[in-house]
Amino acid sequence: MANKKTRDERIKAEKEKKFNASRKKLVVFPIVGAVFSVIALILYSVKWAAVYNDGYGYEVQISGFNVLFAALSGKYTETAFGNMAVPFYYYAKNYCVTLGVLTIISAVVVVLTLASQIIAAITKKQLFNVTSLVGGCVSFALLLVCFSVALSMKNSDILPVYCSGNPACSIRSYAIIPAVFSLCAAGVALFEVINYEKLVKEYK
Amino acid sequence: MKRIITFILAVCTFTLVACGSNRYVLTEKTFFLVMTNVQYYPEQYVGKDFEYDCFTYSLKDIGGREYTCGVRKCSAGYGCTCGQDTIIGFILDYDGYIPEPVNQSGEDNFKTWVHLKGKISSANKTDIKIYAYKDGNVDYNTVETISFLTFDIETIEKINDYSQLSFYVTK
Repeated sequence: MANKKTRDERIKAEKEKKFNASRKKLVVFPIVGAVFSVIALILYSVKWAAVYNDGYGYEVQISGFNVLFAALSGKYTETAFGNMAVPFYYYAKNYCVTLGVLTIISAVVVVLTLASQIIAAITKKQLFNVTSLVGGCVSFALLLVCFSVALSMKNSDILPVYCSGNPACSIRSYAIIPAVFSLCAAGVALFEVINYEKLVKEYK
Repeated sequence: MKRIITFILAVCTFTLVACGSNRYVLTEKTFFLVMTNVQYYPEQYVGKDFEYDCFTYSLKDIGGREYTCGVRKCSAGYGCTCGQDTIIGFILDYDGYIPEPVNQSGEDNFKTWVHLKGKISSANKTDIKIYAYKDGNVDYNTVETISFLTFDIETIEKINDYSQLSFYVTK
């Protein structure tokens, strides 16, 4: 009886040891996820909305950071924020305000996701991998909506009035790029969660 | 702790800049952006100090009244299509002497360049009715209305070396 108990305890300890050893390998996922989140943040520098002229190139544009800081300060008409004041805010005010709110929320979620990934890597607590997954998915969805709102500015007065209806002019947005990196961060977190669950099933 | 304080200071500095300024010193890089903003949001700039380089330009309305303006040329759609040219700038108001325009419609830098300091005292624009141009000639059958703000000059200096200035500005 005592031998069986000792053997069971030894088996359990062995399993625990193997589980922990395998668990340690999973730490690479939140680290990779954090890299994707950092890249997503850096990519707020891309053109969030731009007027493109087929014969000329980009006529005017606003980056994600322009939108973010204009929205945070509420000063959409200041020259500090690129071409935000004119033409975007002047001819597409509601779109800019909506885009500003979405950009702020998305940036907050990306930062929180990054924090979650860093904490997950340091503490190895599985909860933070789950929150990283949720954060990655939410930030992807928000950035996708930012992209959609930016493109919908084609329905504002920018093209018909500011561009005088020039058929060579169109609205473009590259907000989809940081969205992709947020999706990658979510994908990496999902991979970690799936592998963790497999480990739990195997060793516990 | 030091890093946190530095970060907070950086954010505050940015916020101050982002909150706008009471003085605008326009450079070759910022001339068009700020001028465009002024045309669209003039009330934001009333009472603010301005300092910039431009060339003098004479606008004659259909009644024969002449307005002296301080402008630069720009592409169509962004400035005012003032008959012969597309320009962006202000009507100049000054008690003293404003150098006469030279080669104002020419496609080169040879013009009467001036360095101006002053203020926009009112957000009200002056509507100037001028004859349009067609195929390089005055079209007396078509009248255009140009709306310009007025710039109250405090000091004016003629610029002799304008080699670093561009008569044509873009966004």
